[in-house]
Amino acid sequence: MSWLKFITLAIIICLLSWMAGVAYGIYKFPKKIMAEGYERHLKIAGAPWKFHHMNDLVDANFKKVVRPSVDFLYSSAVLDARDGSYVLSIPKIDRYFVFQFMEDDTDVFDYVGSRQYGKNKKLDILIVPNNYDGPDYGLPVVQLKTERVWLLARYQLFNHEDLNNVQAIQDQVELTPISLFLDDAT
Amino acid sequence: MKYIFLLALIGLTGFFIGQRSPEKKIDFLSAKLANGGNTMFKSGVKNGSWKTFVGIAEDDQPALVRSVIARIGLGANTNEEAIYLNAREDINGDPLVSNRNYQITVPAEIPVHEFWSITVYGNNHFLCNNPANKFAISSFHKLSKNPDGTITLYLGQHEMQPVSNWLPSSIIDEPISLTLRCYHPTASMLRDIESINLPTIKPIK
Repeated sequence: MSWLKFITLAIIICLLSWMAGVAYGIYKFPKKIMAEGYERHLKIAGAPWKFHHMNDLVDANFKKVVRPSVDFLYSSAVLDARDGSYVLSIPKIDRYFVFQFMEDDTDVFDYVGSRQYGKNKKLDILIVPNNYDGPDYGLPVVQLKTERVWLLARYQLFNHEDLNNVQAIQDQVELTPISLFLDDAT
Repeated sequence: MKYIFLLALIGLTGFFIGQRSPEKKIDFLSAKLANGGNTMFKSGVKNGSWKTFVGIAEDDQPALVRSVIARIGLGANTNEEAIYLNAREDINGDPLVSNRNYQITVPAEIPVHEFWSITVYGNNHFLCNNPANKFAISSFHKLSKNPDGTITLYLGQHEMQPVSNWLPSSIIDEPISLTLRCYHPTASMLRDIESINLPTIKPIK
């Protein structure tokens, strides 16, 4: 092989593989940012299945998330299917709310909220791993789609004075292992 | 043989460098999308000043759309729960800037079961500093309505009347953008997102 041929080939290969790398990096980005989010969240909440309630107003100093919304307060949890089934308990909520379940690549696969269930109803929802085929205990079921799932809750916030009301809702939102939930029920 | 080995090494190095910091490449692409129009995607929708993607956060959205949304709107809902529309231009196609005043006319009926809101963002995609510490106007605020049911909002750096309808702009002179959020959109909004009446953004001379 002549040097000229070799260098031409090297440049072409370098360029093509760089482009393949760029495409791969972009393609993998949602999973990357979710994985980073899980780790960050686990540090804050301490463990999976623990809520972190974001219970303060956001303003111009808030830089954790781009294009934040001031329509809501949020609660967030990482769900890990390896821990088995849990029950999500939601108190009566007198306003628009939505609990959003996201796969490890950001796609939404289920919701629990006022759109499906209406407002002012206490809700208990069974959350099960994706290979689960056990009983539903008479509860509505959300089946996890990936091993780790990001659960993000939004509760409508009417104004600054409304902050206490939403914080009171957040305090009553719970995730309980199914065994404990059944113990409490009996 | 050693040539092949060397070329493979070059290939691997190229790939490794290429896959690093996808954030920068996504930002570059999303800026291109914003300027050239997102309609290069089948799912891209433009209605007046407003742009969005249909089918975001769903399994079958294009991979590039998923990555762009993960970068600029992580945690976005699917359309059935909420539709997010972004505007960077006024009705004439001129970029929105903080040191101009605008009149935003919201139609009498935005087809949602819950509520809508319009939020102002600075050039860095964050909420902007303003003396009123007010970042958005929502349909559940006490707003002054026109006799025909439409609502006129005023966007600008300095307080405008009526204050309830004033949407403060960034106190720094910079390009700004708006997000219109529509919660629990009706079936007709989901179907006719390209043709329904949305707020118009007119510069005030």
